[in-house]
Amino acid sequence: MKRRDFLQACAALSSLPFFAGLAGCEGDGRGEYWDIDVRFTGKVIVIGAGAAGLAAGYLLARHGIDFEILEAAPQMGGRVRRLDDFADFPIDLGAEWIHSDPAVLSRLIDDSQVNGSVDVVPYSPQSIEAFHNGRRRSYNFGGKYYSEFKFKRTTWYGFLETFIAPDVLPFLQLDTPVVSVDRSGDRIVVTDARGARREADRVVVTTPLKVLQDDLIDFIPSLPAAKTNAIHAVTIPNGLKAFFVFDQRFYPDLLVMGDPLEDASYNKLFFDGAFRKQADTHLLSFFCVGRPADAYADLDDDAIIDTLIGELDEAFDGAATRHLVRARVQNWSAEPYVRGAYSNRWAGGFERILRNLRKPVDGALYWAGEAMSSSDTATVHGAMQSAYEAVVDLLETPD
Amino acid sequence: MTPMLALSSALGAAWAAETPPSENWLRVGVTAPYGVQPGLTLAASTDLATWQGRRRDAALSVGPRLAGFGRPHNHISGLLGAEASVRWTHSETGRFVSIDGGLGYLAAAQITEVQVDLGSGELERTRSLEHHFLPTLGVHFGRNAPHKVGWYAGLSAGRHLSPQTPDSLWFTAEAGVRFAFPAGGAR
Repeated sequence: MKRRDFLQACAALSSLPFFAGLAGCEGDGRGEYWDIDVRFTGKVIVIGAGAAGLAAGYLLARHGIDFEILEAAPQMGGRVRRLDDFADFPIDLGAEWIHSDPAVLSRLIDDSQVNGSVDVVPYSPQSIEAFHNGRRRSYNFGGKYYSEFKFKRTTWYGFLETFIAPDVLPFLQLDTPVVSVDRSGDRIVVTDARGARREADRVVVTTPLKVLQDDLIDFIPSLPAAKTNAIHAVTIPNGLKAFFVFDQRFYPDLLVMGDPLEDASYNKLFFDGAFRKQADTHLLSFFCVGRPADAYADLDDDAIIDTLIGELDEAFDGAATRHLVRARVQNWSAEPYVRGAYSNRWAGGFERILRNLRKPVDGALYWAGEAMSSSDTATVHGAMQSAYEAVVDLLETPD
Repeated sequence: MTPMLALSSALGAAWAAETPPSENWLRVGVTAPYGVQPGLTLAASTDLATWQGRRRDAALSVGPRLAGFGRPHNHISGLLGAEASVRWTHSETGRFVSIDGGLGYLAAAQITEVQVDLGSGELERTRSLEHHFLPTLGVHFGRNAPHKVGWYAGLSAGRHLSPQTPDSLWFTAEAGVRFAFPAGGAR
């Protein structure tokens, strides 16, 4: 029995009253991704240093595998990014919510010897309004149906930076966009935009799916049709966030822009960015994804801010202009190595597409990212778990 | 004249003078505010006045009510209140329908922060007590089966009123069993 299986059996037993006290069967403090049957000894290149790429590196480092992470952007994190010095708390410019039981944070670190804790707040807005047909109306009871979590004093970036990245940073190359992956020879040759060539035995691809859809990386030979079709079957819509600091609060916890009874309205939201953070800054955040984001995605940041302030003024009788202190936009569609939001729709059977997205190619190319999560697509923890699963598969597959 | 006595008089005038026996009731059920906050409810009531009609009996009853419910990772709430009901019961089938007005105090232990131990995954929750007044109006129906045990189901709606949180609509569904006990003679 592998350790992972043993731990899973322990977890199952611990749900029974008699065995609950015996659940502490993690003798060396390592978690389920530690005790795997490693049968690979070569070199790995990870493409992308978002949450999935960093998680892949974290697990490879723990198993002493020779690896390198190549990140196209000048910073790690991908769609996880932090904004400091804008409010009296750090702001998530990208992924913000913890779409799961917060204990998932411990499972992502997967090491019971880690000393540390993190504070999260339940995000269940109390005052909810919808601005629809020129009127604001309250739907406060709507908050009873929604509760997730957010970090209180840190961010997803801070979490990755503190607990995942330290093991990975020595092997991380920033500003290194990969332009081709050639697996036609004995070893895989990965070429970056400067023409530098690196060789590896296996590659883990963790780039945003939109990067693959837009053919920013040339795979030689071409990827199998099933893989290519799956990549193009997923819609990655436009997405952006904006942040406004006001000198006083005039807005509810959540403002839905549209008919609150339509799902699509929840793709365009203003929300109190300081909810339950015990902060002094009046931060109103804007989240927009999908079709509503198309109206902003091609605008420059100043035009986006002007447009959004105009919309807020319409909803709050000019209060936005009167109280605005500063604003900032994060247009993910305009990020050259992101190009959109996150996996949103699947043309065809979800399970089949997911299976083809995750399936390794020729035992050489492995795949991970938010779009490849087996349980929680479009989430940070889902991206990281997909990376762990891909790396475990890679390591358990013999040379 | 209090509203309750006025209602009793009006009902009394509308129904025949012959009065069925008064009873005490105990209600035990499951409840689910907003459909997503499962919990239990316990209520007792006593018939203050009864009237007998040709096919239906009517009763005015009052009593206390307790409920507890919650939502994982969000809150645990307790409700203590009183309700007054007017109940019409079919004389032969035992089927009844009631209209209920209630006033309650609802205390919610709202989780405002969770500390995650990153090594063990254990969660330490910080709760804040929130206080609400809860006026409600409801409709229940059910059947008084033989041997004084019956079933009931119903819906209630009202409004959370609180100085700490924004007011909001309240509604819940409830179902369970009800037990009847003789109140010791007709009134």
